[in-house]
Amino acid sequence: MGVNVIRLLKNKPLASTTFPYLVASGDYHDLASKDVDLVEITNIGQHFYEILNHTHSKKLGIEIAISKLRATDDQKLARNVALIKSIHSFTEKHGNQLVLTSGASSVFEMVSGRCFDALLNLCDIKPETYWISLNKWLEYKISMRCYASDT
Amino acid sequence: MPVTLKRRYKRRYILVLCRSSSEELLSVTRRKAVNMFGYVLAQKAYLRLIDKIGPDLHVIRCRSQFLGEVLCALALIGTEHSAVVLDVSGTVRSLRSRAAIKKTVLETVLGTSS
Repeated sequence: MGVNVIRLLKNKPLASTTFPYLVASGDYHDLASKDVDLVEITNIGQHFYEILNHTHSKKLGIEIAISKLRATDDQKLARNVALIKSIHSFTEKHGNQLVLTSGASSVFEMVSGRCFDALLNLCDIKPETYWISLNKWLEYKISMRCYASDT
Repeated sequence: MPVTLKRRYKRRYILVLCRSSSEELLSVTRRKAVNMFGYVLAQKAYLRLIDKIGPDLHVIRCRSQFLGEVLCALALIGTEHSAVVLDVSGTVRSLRSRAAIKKTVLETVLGTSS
């Protein structure tokens, strides 16, 4: 089973799959849902913190796309950088995981590893600890599922 | 502050994939760095355009001390000029040799012959 590619699905498949996957959602009200692994945050507000505080779902991924940060103006960008830092400490506290993604739809929108590290440093997040915790989170999420055999 | 024996500041050469022209890329990066970190840091970063390899590959230079800030600015450039950092090197010679390999890979990925 190739684990290098992890598919993002909108809904949980009814039968077991041959490939590893994560169930992703763009609606932050799904933070309380047990079926969702990854929730993309597009608009961060106080309400988001309240939902996250009351959710019983542990090991949930909170996705923030850099393509969304790119689209914001510079004042909002500075605010978002501060919010990413607080979200990271918040997710660590509640046993969840911050997932920083490129959100790329083409090759020209991709973000290199060094840029990710620079952005993490900008948000006062140590890149080494972030990548280790992300790797552990992914391994946990993938290993929790049953997969059908290819043969 | 890292200073070489020649008492010159250490530099980093960045290989950037961007569809915009080199001058446009540099001005957009400078503007972003100014907006994010201020005029003083953007000036100290000493951003310069060095080379252009093919239509989409650009080489820009900055002071190694401010590499992180420059990479942040490049990563957060607006969607209309979005840039991808492909490589970072201490010498332009090694960057050029690595860029040649990356260029052929990119040509197959993008399906273009530049």
